[in-house]
Amino acid sequence: MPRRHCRRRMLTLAALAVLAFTVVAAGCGRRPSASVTSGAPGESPAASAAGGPVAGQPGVGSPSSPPASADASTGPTPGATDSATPPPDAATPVATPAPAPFTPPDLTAIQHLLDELDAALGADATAGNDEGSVP
Amino acid sequence: MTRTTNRPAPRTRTARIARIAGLLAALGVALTVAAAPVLAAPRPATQAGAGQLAQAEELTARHRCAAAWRAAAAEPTVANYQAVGFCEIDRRLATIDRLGSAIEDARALTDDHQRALEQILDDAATGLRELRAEIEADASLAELREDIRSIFEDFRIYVLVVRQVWLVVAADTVDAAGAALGETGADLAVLIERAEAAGQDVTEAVEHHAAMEAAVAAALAAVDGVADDVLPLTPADWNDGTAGPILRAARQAIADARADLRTAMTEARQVVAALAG
Repeated sequence: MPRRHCRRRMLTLAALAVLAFTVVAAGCGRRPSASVTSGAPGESPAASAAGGPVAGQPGVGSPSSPPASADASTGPTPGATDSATPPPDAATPVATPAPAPFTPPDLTAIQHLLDELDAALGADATAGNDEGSVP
Repeated sequence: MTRTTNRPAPRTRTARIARIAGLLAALGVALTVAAAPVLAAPRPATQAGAGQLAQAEELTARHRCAAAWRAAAAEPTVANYQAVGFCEIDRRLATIDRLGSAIEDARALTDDHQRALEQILDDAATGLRELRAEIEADASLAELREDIRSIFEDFRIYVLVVRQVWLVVAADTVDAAGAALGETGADLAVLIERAEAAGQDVTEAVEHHAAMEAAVAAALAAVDGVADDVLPLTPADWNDGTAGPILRAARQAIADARADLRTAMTEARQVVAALAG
C-alpha cells in the first residue's frame, strides 16, 4: 500500500511540473513587446533602466564611514566613529569600508529606443511608394 | 524451509513508470527555472518584424488595386470603376488602422502628439468613409473619376499622413533616448567622481563623457520643433508643394539626431571601458 502511494505521488509531481512549465511558457509568450505603454519621455523605461548604477548603490551624498555603535556601554567597536566612545587604540585595527563595486549603467533600454527609431525612419522612407496616382 | 538468500524484488512496470515520472518532474522543474527568464525577455526585433509585415500587406493591397485598375481600363464600366474606388479607399482605411495601432504601441510618443496624430487619422478615416458612400451612389463614369481623384488629392494618406505619423514618432523617440542618455551621463559623472576619489586616472573617461554629453545635446537640438512643423501639414499643403520640403527637412534632422545618439552611446561605452580598465 505505501509503495502505491509513493508512485501516485511521483506521478502527480511530474504532472504538476509539466503544467507549471506550460503555464510559464504561455504567460511569458503573451507578454507584449512594449513593456511600458507610457508616452511621456520622462516615464520611459529607459529613464529608469538608465539609472542602473544607482540601483543597489549608496546614494551620492551617503557617508562612506562605518555606522556608529548604538550601545555605548559595550565599549568601542572596531571602526566606530561615535564621539561618545573613547577613540580606538592605535593597536586596534580599524576596519576600512570596502570600495563600492563598479556597476556600469544598463544601456539596453536606450538601445531598444534606438531600434524603434530605426524602424520609424524605415517606415517613413517607404511610405510614399504606396500612394499611387490617377492614370 | 526458510529462505536463506536475500534476492532483490523484481522490477515491476509500475516501479519503472514511477522512476520515469520522477525524472520528468525534475526535468520539468529545471526547464521552468531555466526557461522563464528567457521567455520573459523583451523582443526588440518585434517592431522591425511588424514593420516588414505592414509593408508586405501594403504591397499586396497595391497589387490588388492595380488589378482593379487594369480591369477598369480594359472595360470602363461604372461597376469596374466603383471597384477601383472601393479598393483604393479600403487599403487606405486598413493603413489608417495599422497606423492607429502603431501610435498606441509607440512608447516614446507624448500624449499631446498622440492626440494630434489620432485626430488626423480619425478625420481622414471619416472623410474616406463618406467618399466611399458617394462612390457607391455614383451613377456615371465622370462622377466616379472625380471621386476617385479625390481619394488621392484630398487625403494624401501615404505621401503625407503616414509620414506625419512616423516622423513625429521618430522625433519623440529621439527626445526619449536623449533624456535617457542624459540620465546615464549623470550616473557616469558620479562613477567618474568616485573613481577619481579612489585615485584612478579619469582623464580618458572625462573626455569621452564630455563627447557623450555634446552628442546628446546635438541630437536634442536637431529634433527641436520637428513635430510642430510636421503635424499641421495638410493634403492641400502637399498639393501646392509646401509640405514636401518640410517633410524632407524633418527627416534629415531626425537622421542627424540618430547619428548623434549612436555617437553618444559609443562614448558612453567608452567611459565605462575607461573606468573599468
